[in-house]
Amino acid sequence: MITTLLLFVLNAYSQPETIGEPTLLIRVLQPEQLQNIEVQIKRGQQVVPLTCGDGQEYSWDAVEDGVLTCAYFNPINIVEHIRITSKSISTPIFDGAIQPGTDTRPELSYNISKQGSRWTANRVALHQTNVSIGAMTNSWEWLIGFWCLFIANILGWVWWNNK
Amino acid sequence: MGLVEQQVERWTPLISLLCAIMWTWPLVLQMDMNPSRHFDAYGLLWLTEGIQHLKHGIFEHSNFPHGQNIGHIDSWIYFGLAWMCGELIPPPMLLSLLILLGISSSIWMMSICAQSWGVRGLNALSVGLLFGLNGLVLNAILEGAYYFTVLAWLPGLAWAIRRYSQYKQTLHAFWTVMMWLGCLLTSAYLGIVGSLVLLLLIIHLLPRHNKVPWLLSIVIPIVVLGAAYSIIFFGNTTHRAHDFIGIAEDWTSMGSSNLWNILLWNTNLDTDAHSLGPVSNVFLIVMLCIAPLTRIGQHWSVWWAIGVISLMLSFGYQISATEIDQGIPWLFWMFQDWSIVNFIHFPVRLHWGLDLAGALLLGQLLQRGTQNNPKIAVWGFGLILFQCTVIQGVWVRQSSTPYHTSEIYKDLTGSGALLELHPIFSSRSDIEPLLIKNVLCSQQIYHHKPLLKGCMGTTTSDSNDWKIRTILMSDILDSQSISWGQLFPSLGVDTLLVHIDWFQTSDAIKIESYLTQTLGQPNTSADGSILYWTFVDPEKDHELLLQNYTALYNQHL
Repeated sequence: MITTLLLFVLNAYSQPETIGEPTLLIRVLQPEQLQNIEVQIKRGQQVVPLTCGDGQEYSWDAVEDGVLTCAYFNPINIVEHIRITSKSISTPIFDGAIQPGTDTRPELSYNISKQGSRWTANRVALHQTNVSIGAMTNSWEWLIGFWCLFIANILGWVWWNNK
Repeated sequence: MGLVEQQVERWTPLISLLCAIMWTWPLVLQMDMNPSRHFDAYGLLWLTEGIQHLKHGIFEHSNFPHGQNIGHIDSWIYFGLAWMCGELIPPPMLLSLLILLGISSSIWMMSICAQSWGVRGLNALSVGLLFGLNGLVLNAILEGAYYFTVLAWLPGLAWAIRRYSQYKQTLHAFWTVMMWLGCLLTSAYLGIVGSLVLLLLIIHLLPRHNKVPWLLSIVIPIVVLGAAYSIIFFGNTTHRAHDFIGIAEDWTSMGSSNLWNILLWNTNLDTDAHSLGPVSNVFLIVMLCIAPLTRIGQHWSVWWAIGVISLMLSFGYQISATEIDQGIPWLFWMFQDWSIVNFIHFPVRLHWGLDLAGALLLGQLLQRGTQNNPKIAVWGFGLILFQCTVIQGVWVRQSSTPYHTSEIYKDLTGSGALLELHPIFSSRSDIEPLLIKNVLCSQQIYHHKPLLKGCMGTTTSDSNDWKIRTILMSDILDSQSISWGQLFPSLGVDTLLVHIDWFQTSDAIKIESYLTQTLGQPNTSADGSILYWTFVDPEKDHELLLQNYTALYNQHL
């Protein structure tokens, strides 16, 4: 009973967004692995996911045709960086542009830009691995915790003895 | 004051320098190396070159041929230093000297300030250490924002107005204004803290008689200078606006104090955009808690107030457990719709007020204790040194990275522009694009050629470099229809440099093959990681260059 109710609530929250007209539509032809594809706009340090779906229940898509249609509803800039990623794939997709391999999150990137009313998407190459600068990964909670207690007592003692 | 304490005060400048050397070791032995791992250090290095090509507020060798507006310079003090010393001192050495002298002067000036407020001898040196080696300075070194080591203006301000209240001499009023101006020109954040400290100290120290002349001697020059600065500062549109979306508290969450980084290490330190932690220390927090109980000296209340306000401001828009959690709405939340506070991306830096005030409160406590037990001064010095070194994890944060990345850059000749081809980095954070941009820009100090990259600011996707790379990459990987051998000279580019080892292997094969087929055999670096092609007779007419870029963008973007 509780499980059913939970599923009902989750389902209600997962209904597609139907408010407003999309400012950007991206159609991804990949019928076999629809559930694994994510489309995002990357702006500086932020990544904004697009809402994707295929079928009449998605207001920005017409019919279920095996083409994943991803919509963005907020204003877009003249130049945007679009990323199409897949959490995992078992076969090459997009004409072999994304290959299955050790990378758990393969992706394609496009720079899209607008001149007048014309939009252009240019594919850009990716670096093969992520770079981590990495300086310190240990937080030393216990050492600093004891140190704080120690110093608090010392300063309290100095004050108490010199009131 | 005993003989030993007199000797300590006499030798404070040298001890301060030794502490700075120890704290940044082995920088003093490797003045041409980078003690940071972060992208901002390379941006500072580039600025020393960029200033050499600054005309009418435009960096002409950045974002060639359009140039780049001077925008919001983070530190006018560093800007002036780079302008004056850029051709006299090698730029890497200039940065190293800035760090060493910045920390030394901060410790020294804080000790002098403490002495003026009644803390003497070894206790004054302890106060200087606690301020000069504070957590934000360590973070600044790690992040490459080296001008934040020059904090001497803040204790200098507290010293000058203290002396002005004691002696009422115009000279001290002059120093008060100069120290405040030094804060403002070092960083807008330090300027805010300096203004807060000055305001509260003026209220606290206002004399009973002849108030108006005393006040006007400080206020009039500050209002004039502050107005001039504000007009320049707010007159420039912010070059960072493009980097961000969402509301202000989203992008300041990583730049604020939180309940974790106030005392503890951030476990993601230096792996996620910025290095914040630990911001404060237990000495400052305990003194804020017990100062209303101890009530030592007649000035404790003003320093306590400065410390509390500073701590409150450093939390920014919310008090949260960590930088990513949702928290309790806090002070800046009230002003989130005010465009005037939009430039405050790092409220954590307002914690400098607590570094100053808390250290002085501690100094008062140690001074009181030393009167009954002289050993307390020695113990206090030892504990503070332990805090600033071991607890702050100095050695873990130390780094020694060469600024110079490849000998190829020294071999490049010609006055045409340089275009560097490299991949888009796929990380979710913006660290890699910024790191790559700043590192490649900084190499301009070796080759001195105009760059298509926009080296000023933190935006990576609005320069000519971004657009040309986009068109070039797309052409190589997809259409292969543009005659690049003819196009590059018409764009003023005489060198195309490809970081071939940064690409995925499949892309690298395509890129090298196509460019070799189109442009001929490349020159290669010794290790094969860099390929470059040169072109003769690049276009030099500025108007024609602008037209050529516009035509290309109209056709392909």
